[in-house]
Amino acid sequence: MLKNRIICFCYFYLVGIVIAKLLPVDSSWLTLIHVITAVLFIGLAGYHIYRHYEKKAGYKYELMSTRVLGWVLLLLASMALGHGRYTESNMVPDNRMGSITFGESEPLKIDVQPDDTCRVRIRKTEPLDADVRLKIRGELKARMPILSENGLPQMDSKGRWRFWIKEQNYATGELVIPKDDPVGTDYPLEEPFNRLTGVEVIEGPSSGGLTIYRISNHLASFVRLGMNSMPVTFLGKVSGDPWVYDFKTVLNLTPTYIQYRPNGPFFKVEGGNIRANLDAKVDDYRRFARSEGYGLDVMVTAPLFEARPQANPGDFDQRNYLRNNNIFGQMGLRQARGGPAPIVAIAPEGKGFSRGHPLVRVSLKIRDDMLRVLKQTLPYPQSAMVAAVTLGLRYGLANVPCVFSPEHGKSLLHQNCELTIPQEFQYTGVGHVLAVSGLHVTIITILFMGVFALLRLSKRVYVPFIVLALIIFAIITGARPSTLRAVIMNSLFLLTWGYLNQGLVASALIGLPVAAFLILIYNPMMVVDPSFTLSFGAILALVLISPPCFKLLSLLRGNTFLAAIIMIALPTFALMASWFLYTSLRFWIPFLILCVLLCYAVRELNRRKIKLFGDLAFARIPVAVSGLLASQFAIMWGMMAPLSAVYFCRWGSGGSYANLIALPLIGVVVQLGVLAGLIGQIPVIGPFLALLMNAANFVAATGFCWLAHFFAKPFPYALVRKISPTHLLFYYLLMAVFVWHEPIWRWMKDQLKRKSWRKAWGYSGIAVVVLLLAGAFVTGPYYRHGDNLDITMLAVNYGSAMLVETPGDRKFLIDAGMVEHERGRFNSAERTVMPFCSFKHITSLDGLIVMSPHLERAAGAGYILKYMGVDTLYLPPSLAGVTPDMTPDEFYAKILGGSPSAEYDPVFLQAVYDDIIGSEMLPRQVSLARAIRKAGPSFVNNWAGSVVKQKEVRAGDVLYEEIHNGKRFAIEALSPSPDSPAGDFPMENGSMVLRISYGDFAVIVGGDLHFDGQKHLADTCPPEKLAAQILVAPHHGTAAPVAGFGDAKQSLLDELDRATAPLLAKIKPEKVLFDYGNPGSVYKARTKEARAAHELTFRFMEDKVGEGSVKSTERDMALFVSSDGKGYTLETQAQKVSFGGEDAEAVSSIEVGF
Amino acid sequence: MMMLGSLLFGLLVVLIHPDYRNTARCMLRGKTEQAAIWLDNENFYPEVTLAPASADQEEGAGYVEE
Repeated sequence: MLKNRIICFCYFYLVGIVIAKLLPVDSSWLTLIHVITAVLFIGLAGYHIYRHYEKKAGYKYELMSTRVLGWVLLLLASMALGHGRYTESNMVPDNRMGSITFGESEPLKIDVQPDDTCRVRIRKTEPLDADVRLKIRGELKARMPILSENGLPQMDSKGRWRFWIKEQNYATGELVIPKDDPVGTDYPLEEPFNRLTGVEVIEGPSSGGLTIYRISNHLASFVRLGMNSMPVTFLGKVSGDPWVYDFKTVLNLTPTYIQYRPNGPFFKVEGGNIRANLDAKVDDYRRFARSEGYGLDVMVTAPLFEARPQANPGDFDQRNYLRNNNIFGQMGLRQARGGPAPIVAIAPEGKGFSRGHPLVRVSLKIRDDMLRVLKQTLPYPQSAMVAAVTLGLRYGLANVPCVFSPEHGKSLLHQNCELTIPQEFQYTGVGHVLAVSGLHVTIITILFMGVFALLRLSKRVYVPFIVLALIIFAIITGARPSTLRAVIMNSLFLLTWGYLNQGLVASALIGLPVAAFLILIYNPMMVVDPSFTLSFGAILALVLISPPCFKLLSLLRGNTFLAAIIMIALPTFALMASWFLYTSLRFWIPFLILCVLLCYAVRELNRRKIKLFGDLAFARIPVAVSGLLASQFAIMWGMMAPLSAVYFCRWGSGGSYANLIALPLIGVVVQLGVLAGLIGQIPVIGPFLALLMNAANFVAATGFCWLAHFFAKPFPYALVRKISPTHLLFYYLLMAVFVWHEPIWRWMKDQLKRKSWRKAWGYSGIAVVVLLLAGAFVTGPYYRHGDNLDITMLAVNYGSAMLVETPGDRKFLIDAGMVEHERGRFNSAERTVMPFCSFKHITSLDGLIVMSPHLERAAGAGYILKYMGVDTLYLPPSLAGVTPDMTPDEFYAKILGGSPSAEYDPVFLQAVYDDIIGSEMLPRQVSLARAIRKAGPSFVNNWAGSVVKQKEVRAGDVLYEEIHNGKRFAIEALSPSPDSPAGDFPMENGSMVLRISYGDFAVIVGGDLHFDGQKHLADTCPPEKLAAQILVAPHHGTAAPVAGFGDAKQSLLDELDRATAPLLAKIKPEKVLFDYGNPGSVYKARTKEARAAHELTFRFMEDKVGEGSVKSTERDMALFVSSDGKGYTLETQAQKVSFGGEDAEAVSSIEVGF
Repeated sequence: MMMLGSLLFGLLVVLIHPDYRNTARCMLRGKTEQAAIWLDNENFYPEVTLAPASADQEEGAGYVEE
């Protein structure tokens, strides 16, 4: 009974968190929530005390009402605890200090003076009938650090920062509160105080009031917007293991005191950490770029800014992700030439540098020692792979090319491969091995249990050692939620098995909710972290779904088993042939018919006692294998498939098959890696034994990488729709019915047996329930596009990607963003465009339009063709008809219209060739031409109905049109025409220009049109074709008249006047939009020129249409245009996520005398 | 059994694979820093060297010297 109460308490704590997340409340409710929680816990304690005395008095049996009361108190208390814990973690409330009441002799009333230096804000809490001008008076006890001779802050011998206090009394500058400002407006004061003493009302109403709040000193309140804002200085610690890359180190910093303004006082920080990128060129870099950097006390001076939130719907939300991990600010630590270092380590007086928590220090040392052994005994990149799966060093594996990449040189199994190791793992569905979790922890637990059992030690003796080893392992691998969950569960199992002789299942049932509770009580924000939900989901799936799966599969024997194999094999072959075939009714309908025929055939064969497969049965397969098959099925359909759709919008379809080999193999890799790492520490003989073990492990690790490489090719890494909560709920209801189908069926049979007249009611009831569920599924919150024209301009850094949803619900994608093959290997199509489409429940397009050969438009198009169904591909003449067999000369002649220009850098042209036609060095790398060929007519594509039609687009063509609600929608091409001038930039001047119109509303999409093309368009295109409310600026605003910008600023302005101004005069746009970002990936050495050109063009547009009418995806993130055919709205993602504002603030006038 | 098997299999790999043969020879001579496998991992976590830095080299009494 106690176990059930513990389990329910933990699960309902989780329910409380989920309720708080779905129905968030204002921070003002927090106190009430805490009070309710306390009352409920007091009630619960009272209930248990009452029951204790009842039992003492001899009353063994509890009244039903009392029992119910006990359960209700337990569940409500746990829910309230979860709700309150999540709410307080999710917000940083400011505390009410007092009020200002006008018309009184002493207007200022302070209820609670601050306990430390803080800032205040004034809130208008009621309407005022006159403007207010006032000054606040107060005391400041400015905390300033005591400096050493070298000008750095000091610490005493106990590791405390040393300060001196400067006291001063002063008044703020004049604060103006207009009477017309709405109630609820906040007016933060720049000046800090320790105590408020009075208010001087210069002008104000005769009645009414204001409320004063103390701004919390949580780190979040010190963060500024923009990376170039005024720097802050803080004193704190390196609180996490440094992540060392080859060009930077990422540090986790915990600030203790922070100086918000130069020469200002230091505030005591009330929570929150900082993630800092430390540039390798900073002085003393090596001190921080290693494990010994953990624990150092530091002084840091740099701009403190907030992480960017989602730039596009469906994007990874870095801001939220960091906040969930208690990181509320970021810093870039760079050092100007000759300037001071942004980070300096400080040692306490008379002592060496601080080293952090001893257990963490020891754990990191063990990790470094094991890594040293790996580096000596495993070649690269196998060493990187083994370090990732055994020591959790995933960041060392980031961007490491496939083991068969030409970058690793020739080998026995050398093949050209363009993917990275993590990509191959991800695509194949075995990426979970890189997340240190239950699999790894269990392998290590078994390893240690085996070793201690060999030494014939009693389990009561060695269990604590294994628990300690697991804790150290968790620290080594970064203590992710998945690892913590596994360590807590395994520790609970070990303790109950070692001391209470309990079995595995019993401890798993209680271990899982207890582990969840412990993780979430520390950090409730983890509830939506994929590491948390996927890890717990996997265990729940294993525990609940595996047994009924195994039972079901055990029914397969003889001919039935053979039929089942055929029924699994055929969809597998379809999947390998084409994802579009696998998801097409053209496959499934014939397949289902075949299944029916197969069932019939099996029945006949069994009736005639003909055994085609002998006595072979699932139950005869060795238990280790059959158990693995059943658990694979359980995890795939219980966790992986649905939650991958929710979190990643992708499905590694090869996972079901690859994991059958990967799971046992990774057990070998991890065990050998850990054993070799530990044995390698033994003096003299250890390194040689480690060499032998890791030589064997080299084969296992290479085999694993080959497995991922092999399965990545035939099995698609499919794009799936992001499913709604309703669908997820419906799916898990079906799963629940499957898991508990036996007891449900027994209960129903029992009910129906009672009286025959109930049979009819019973069956009808069942049918009604099924229909209701189906109805919920069908009418659940699908994404339904309304009757408007919706255009979304995605923020894809320097690049273009625009989704057009027509009033008739057709989907067109214009351009697909950039793909970087080096540096950060960023793929806009996979990272931004496809997740956005999945978020919109779009997995196929009516049209993909590529406007020009420029890579920031065309490079991602091949990936769109590969992973999304596309009905028609629209290409300009420069790209129409490209094939993978084209030579570079043929291709350049085509895209440059037969007139090669000296304006094009040969390196740039080669890059265009590689992404459009395909790199010879990397025959499997996706290119537009290869993707077009693969999507062309073939047996499989014809069967699936997925053949992509191609259309060459010229001026005057109507790509698509429809009539909706009596209004015409159309996408028309205005360029290129046969007489379009090539000029010095034939690739750009051959670009498409589109007009998207609906009713009275229109958008001109300028493509990459250069100045000659713009002038030609303005001169030749009829005005009614050019008129539009919105213009998407041509060429991202980076067009320049000559290849080198240099001192040709005037010639750019001249070209803008000559060519762009007449075009604007004809279009007469109300808004101008720029799809722009960091041009470095495209322009490389000419980045500075491109930026300068963009800034000039941007300002030119602002002069023409007005400052607030020009938007940019760089500043405003994704842009949303919606029109009903008459008017339109323009919104930005920055507005939606409340991001943006002034980058820098003026220096405060408050100084404290230095 | 698994450990024994991996040691024997590892011995086979060492005998066959040229980089492993080279590494074994260098380790026997006490010159691991010249071994092919160590050099292959030169840029992989370069801060983890063969001889871990001793604490004495890192401690500083008093304050940080600029």
